[in-house]
Amino acid sequence: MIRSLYNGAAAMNVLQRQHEMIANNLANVSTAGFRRAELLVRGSGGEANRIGSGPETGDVHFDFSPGKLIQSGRKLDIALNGDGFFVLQGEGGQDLYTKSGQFHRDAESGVLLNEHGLPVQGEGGTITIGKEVADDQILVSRDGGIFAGEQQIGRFEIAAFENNEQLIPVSQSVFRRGPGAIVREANAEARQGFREVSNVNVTSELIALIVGGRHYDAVQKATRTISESLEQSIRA
Amino acid sequence: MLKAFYSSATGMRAQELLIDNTANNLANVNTTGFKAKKMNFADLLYDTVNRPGAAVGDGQIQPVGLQIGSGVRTVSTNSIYTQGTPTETEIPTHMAIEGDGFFRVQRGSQVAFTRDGSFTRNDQGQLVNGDGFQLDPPIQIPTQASDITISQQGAVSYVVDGTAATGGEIQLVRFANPEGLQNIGSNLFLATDASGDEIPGSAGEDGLGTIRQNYLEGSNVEVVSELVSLITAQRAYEINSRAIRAGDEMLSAASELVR
Repeated sequence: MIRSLYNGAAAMNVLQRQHEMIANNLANVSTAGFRRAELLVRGSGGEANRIGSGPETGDVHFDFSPGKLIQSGRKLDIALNGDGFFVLQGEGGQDLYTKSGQFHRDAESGVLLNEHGLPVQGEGGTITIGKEVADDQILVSRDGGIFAGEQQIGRFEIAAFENNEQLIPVSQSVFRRGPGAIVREANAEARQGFREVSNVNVTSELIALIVGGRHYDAVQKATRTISESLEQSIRA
Repeated sequence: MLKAFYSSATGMRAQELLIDNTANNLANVNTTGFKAKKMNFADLLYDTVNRPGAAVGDGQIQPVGLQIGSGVRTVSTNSIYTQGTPTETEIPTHMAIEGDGFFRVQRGSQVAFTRDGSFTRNDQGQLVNGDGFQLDPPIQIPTQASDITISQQGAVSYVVDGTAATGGEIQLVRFANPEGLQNIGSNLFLATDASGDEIPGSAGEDGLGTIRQNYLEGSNVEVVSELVSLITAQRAYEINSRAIRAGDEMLSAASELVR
């Protein structure tokens, strides 16, 4: 009987963790390139003729479905429509992958940086747009080519994976490659002047919030009932 | 659980800032040369419960791990440098820049930059903006001059006592990263390390826009999209507060376990 008290506590713990994930998804409803995450739950040790020890927190599942594209009109806001990531050069030369394409130029060198100051990779190194090119002259074609007026000055490197679930999160908008990630041909279209917002679906998060809350209540009631019967049997 | 409260609070704070920014854009819907601003958000640091990549034995590693975020923060505001609508004013010293570029004005000992071309002549005939700051390099038009013309390339000419005369050329400047300019109010910007040094030039050359006389550049704020972002921000605010309430209910249920 005491064991089922621990089971109840385990379930309540897992539900709290899930609530924390939902709260974080909702807090990031306006973050560009944010991918929502949900916490999967796994049962533990429920073999035949044995009582399990309650649920455990399982894997975090990242949802890589696309967010909405919103027009911003900025020349260096590039959104990727379809399956593909921009490649950023992280600290120590490590490649990082993101859907967030809000770039600006370094004032001195003209190197294209993301909003956190990491250089974005083109095919064959960083992308440099010199001072002599005005913002209005920068054009990005659908296939990721970067043009200054008529002249092509580079192309965005766009990466895609067979199995996005093998990516390791650095944050929920920036990922790095896990050992099992298989590269494949990207099938994405670059859209200049657009931003991809978070893919958090407010309605389903709210439903998950309500379901989680009710589930928590139910576990709490069950646990209290057990505690009360335990109390009775001690007094008997 | 308490973490969820703080995550939601950062979410509410972010939406408040978004509303502040939208309100400022809407307030400047008639400001000459105003550029709408957009906020950027990023997720906050993560609390790592299970580290991704940690060994789980047998040569296997944990592919995903369990990390729970702590909400959202604002990273930056971008000015959107799209063209504002030119409006005709019939004042010959008013100018709109069509394309990239800024006017350079002398603000005391400092140099400031602006897209607001509502220049007038002062008592000495110099072109000054609404705050009395002189255009730099200075343009002098005699007070008795008439028929002032400013070409698309910025060449100033006028007629004095029946004879035509030229009065210098208006220079424009541009920046490698105009979003790095510091906003100081009164439609003025200052150069910073992020924007880089000014790149001077003549209007219509080297990527600079052309000058259109008798016109002012209106604000580029789009009222409809600002209103939509106002509504989404308000709803997102409510949803984050709903997440706080749900957490509160869960905590109070937990405290009910013991009577």
